[in-house]
Amino acid sequence: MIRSTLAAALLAAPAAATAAPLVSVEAASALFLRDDPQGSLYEAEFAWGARATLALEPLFPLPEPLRLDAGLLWYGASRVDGTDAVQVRRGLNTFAMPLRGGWELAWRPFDTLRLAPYVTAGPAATRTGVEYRVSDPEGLRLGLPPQVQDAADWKAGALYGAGLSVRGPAAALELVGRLEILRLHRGPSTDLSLGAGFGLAF
Amino acid sequence: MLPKFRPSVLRCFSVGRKAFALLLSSLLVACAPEAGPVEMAVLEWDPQKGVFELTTATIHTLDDVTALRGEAATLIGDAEIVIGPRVKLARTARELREAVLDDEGGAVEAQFVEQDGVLYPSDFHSLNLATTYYNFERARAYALARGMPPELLRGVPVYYFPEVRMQGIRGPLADNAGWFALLQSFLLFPIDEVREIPLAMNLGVIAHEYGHGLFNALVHRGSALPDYQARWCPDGICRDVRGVRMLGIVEEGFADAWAIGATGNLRFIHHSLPSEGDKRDLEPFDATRHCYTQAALEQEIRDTSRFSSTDRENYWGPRQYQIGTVIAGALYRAGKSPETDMDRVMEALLASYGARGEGSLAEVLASDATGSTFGTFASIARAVIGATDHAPTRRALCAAWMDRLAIPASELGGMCDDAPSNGECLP
Repeated sequence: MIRSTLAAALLAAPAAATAAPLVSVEAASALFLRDDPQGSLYEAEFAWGARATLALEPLFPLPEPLRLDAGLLWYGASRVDGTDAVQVRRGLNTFAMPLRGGWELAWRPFDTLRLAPYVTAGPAATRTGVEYRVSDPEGLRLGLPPQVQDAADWKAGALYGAGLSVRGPAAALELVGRLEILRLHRGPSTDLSLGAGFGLAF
Repeated sequence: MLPKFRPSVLRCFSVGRKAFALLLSSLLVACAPEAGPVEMAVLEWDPQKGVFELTTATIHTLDDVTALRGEAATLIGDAEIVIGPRVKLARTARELREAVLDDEGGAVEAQFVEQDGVLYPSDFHSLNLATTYYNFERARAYALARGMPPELLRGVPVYYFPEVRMQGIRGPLADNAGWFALLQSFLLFPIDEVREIPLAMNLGVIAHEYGHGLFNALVHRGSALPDYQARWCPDGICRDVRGVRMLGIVEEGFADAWAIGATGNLRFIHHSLPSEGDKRDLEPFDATRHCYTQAALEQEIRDTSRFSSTDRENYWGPRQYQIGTVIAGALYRAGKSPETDMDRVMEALLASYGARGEGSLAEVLASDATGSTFGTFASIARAVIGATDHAPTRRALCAAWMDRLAIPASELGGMCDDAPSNGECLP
């Protein structure tokens, strides 16, 4: 009796399990091609981030293959450059609210993966924090401590770009991922990014 | 040209919608880049503490904040320079430029955060670039105050971290700064091994190079390839090698003196190149470092004449800085004398380059067919001493040149007969 009851419960579940997940969370990483102060074409910088999205299809009567969601995106990066005597640490924290519209392809690799090319755009804001550490060798000779000073500001801008999202087999807990190319405001400059994300939708 | 000032433009976008609508019609006025002084965080030497620190400075002459372009300098990034055999074939300034510049580079793009009305460079290179421009502005202001004609070195190109390759030297050049007559510009080489204050952030280094730029502009009349070389050393063989050696010595000595005049920092080299600084200190007085003679120069020239040409240049390369320290020390001593100061001495030095016509260094150089006249300390001293009418300065210069370089009063054209000697270099 006990076995039969469990089996019945599991058999009753599929309707709920195949309902499209509304929320996804992803770990994100990106290679940013940043305007180089020295005047060369760009300098490369790696950043980690996170993203949460909320599917908007239930709110709008969209045709089945269309995908629409709104998200919150964060990227953080930090780097230190300079000599032993003069070091500058720059930290960038970028927050964006991208809206994404895509079209799920009929073609499914391995018969299960669902691909959706998409375009995305939205507002973005970046906090740029800078810390300066100056330890003049003459100061060290005189026994003076290093000078440490910081500054920061917020700047607002936008992001836009395109990508390809992938979803695993329909389930209550789905694997999701994406590859995307963005033009993203990041404080003092607007950078091109080549990003990837991987996470879960539920 | 309107100055470009991106942070102010961005600030315009942060106003509210209504305000934005009201301002839209006057957008050009409201969002126009702000001309005039800019408050910027830069690295600067604090004379009270004796160390470099981050400080807020007012920069007055920028036309474009992001590109760091203005009256004092035009910063150029990402250039490639090759100094090779093609230079010898060039006949015009344009041919020289084409021979030397493999990639002429482009504008730099410094990035800033704005806090309390001050622009803070947001990365190391932006701080280096901003401080570089500020240093050129201060070096120029010092030169203008000493009598430099305003049209000289206006908006001078400054190549920032170019890739420079020189025939006979392996790998690109690094960890140096220089005046580059071939392009009438300054070069700030990339950092490789320097771990101290970057050379471009050190006003003393920039003022030293500015001194070379002034020397070229006034003594060589701004020539990319001064003609003394062809007169003194036809086919590469010098008629009197003293002239060539003296040119290197006075250029480095005058440039060090100019740097100390502009900064008031006797130890400016120590902040960036401590081991080099020890050899070029002007104080305390040290007879082995601060005294020299014409006879000693001629003996060294004879001693090194047997060297191979490579060994000879390797010897004189650093040696011209050391003997230059004797000249810088003499000028500094004169600047400390009663009733005068370093600024008056530097005014005399600048005037001696070319402003005084006959008897100036430019005149001596131009009229010297072999290098034998320019190649004596006495002829250099006569030009500098004769360039000032201020009696205490002239007396102080006489005494310093006569003591430190053992020049007899009789060789100074009657200008120094009453000069007091302190005998500090006597055996």
